[in-house]
Amino acid sequence: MNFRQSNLNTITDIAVSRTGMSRFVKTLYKEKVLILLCLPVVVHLALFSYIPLYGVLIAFQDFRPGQGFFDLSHWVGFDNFIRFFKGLYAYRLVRNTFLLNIYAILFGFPVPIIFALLLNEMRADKLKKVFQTISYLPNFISTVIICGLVINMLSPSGGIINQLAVLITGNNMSFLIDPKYFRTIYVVTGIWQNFGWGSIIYLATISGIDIALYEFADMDGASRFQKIINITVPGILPTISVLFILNMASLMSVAPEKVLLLYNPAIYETADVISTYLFRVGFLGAQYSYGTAIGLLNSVVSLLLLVLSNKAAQKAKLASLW
Amino acid sequence: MILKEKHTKFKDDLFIISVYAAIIIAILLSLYPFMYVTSMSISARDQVQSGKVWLFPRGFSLDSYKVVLATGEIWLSYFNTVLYSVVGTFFTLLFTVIAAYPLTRKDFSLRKVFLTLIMIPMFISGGLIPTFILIQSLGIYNTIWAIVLPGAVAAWNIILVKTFMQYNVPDSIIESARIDGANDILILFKMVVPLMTPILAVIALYSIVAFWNSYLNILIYLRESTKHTIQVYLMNVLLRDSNILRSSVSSLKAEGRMDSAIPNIQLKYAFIMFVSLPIIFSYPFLQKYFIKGVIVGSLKD
Repeated sequence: MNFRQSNLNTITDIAVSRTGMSRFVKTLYKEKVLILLCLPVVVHLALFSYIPLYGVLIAFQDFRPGQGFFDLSHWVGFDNFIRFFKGLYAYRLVRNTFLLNIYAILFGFPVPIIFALLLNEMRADKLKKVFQTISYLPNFISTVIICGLVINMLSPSGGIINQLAVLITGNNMSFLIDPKYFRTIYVVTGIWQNFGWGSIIYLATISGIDIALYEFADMDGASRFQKIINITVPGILPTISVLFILNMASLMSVAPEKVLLLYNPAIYETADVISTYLFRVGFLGAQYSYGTAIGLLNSVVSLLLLVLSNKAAQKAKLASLW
Repeated sequence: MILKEKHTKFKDDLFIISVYAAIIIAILLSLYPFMYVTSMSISARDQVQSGKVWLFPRGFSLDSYKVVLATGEIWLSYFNTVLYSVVGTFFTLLFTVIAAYPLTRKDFSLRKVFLTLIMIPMFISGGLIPTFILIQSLGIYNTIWAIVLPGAVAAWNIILVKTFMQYNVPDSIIESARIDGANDILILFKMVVPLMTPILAVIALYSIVAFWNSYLNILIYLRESTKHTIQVYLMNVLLRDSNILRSSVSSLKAEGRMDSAIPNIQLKYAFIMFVSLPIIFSYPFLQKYFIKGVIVGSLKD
């Protein structure tokens, strides 16, 4: 009795699963054109996004150039990570990365906001548009040009800013090889490049604020300054919050392009950041495993920061990313 | 009541004056580097040499531009820049569009899977070195493909286009085309894409600018200088003391088309102008596309 019953169940199970499978395959066949469209993208993702992701495994190996990702020999576990932490430079790199971003956020984050608030007070529309266009231009100038300009303008032999410094202090300054100026140069050029473009999103948000609020404020006799503080700023607070989270989430990532062009061995003390060290030692120096280990550490920390800052924003009941 | 109004009005006037003052200072500071570079590049040699130029041109000389225009490597690298930008943008648009379309079909069974596959690399990636090793393994190192292919699939672009598609291409059109027997590829390219030119223009522009301004990629993946872009040459001249411009001066002298040396600094600034002018001139006309991109992008938030 039992035997026959269990037999029956097995047959039923097979029948159901066969139908399930075939139904699924039928659906896929029906959607074959859509799947065809997805295919190149999936192949691209597999090649350029997921295989390198798998490739971080070389951080746990002593990778030899001929090896390839799928050869897992020369496994050394966490040796490369330990090497980084025990090394002379770990503290300096982390500190430099952190401080560079903190200064950039501290001084750079408010500027587009303030600029947007200021522009919003302008009545002359045509002039406002001209000013906006001008302010957007620096954003499209390449990093190479900006760094080239900076280096030339700060050069001890005739750079225009040096001439200014000589007028003021009587001394010629070597801004570019003195570690204490690097962060300022980096942050100020970043602000110059970004304040106009960064104000776009705030201006767009401001245009969505209910005009009636301003009219009510007028009736209460509020000054323009009061209106800004009490209506405009709260109106863009969600935007500010989201952008702030995004900024905070990239606290430990500094893109190497700009630093690479501005730095030199004399100022590694303040200028060398995690990404530039990775590039110089890991890539140029062909220490692939070591460099990948550093990169992996950096990515994981950045991901953590993203999750944490989003949680913090959720807790504070401000707009968050998800 | 009247006192309060007067008081507020005075505060308001003071405030407005400071607002305009602050804006004007910001704009002048934005403009100064452009002014300085322009003036330096068109001033007379001796004025530049003695450091007398700081805002307005002193004297006039287009010799440094003559040198830049006569330098063959610069034209070659300009060609490379345009080539990579156009090809790269083409692939970016192609991949973005074919990725976005299936994502808008709500009846697509693999939609969520596909979306997840696209989104994950936004948060974590292999990094510089694994990507480099991959490019080598694929055999595309030192070729144009190493430059134009990797960036073609970007979650940001895909989501932007997908959102635009959902808002601007009514399902009814697609449905009626389906009923008429058209398959999705036909629908996509003959019907949907023409309706999406605004957003595609935005993505194309952002993509071109990104390719135009990049330099590190080129340096990492392309070995011969004949494959390099204008940014790399700019970097070599401005920051690595390359002598391609000085060589041009020598050859122009030898041909008798130039009489004496031009200050290095002026050559550099002329080069910067030469590279930036196209951007500065085309930018105001294209501006509205860029801004639209920012706004549509923020809407998805």
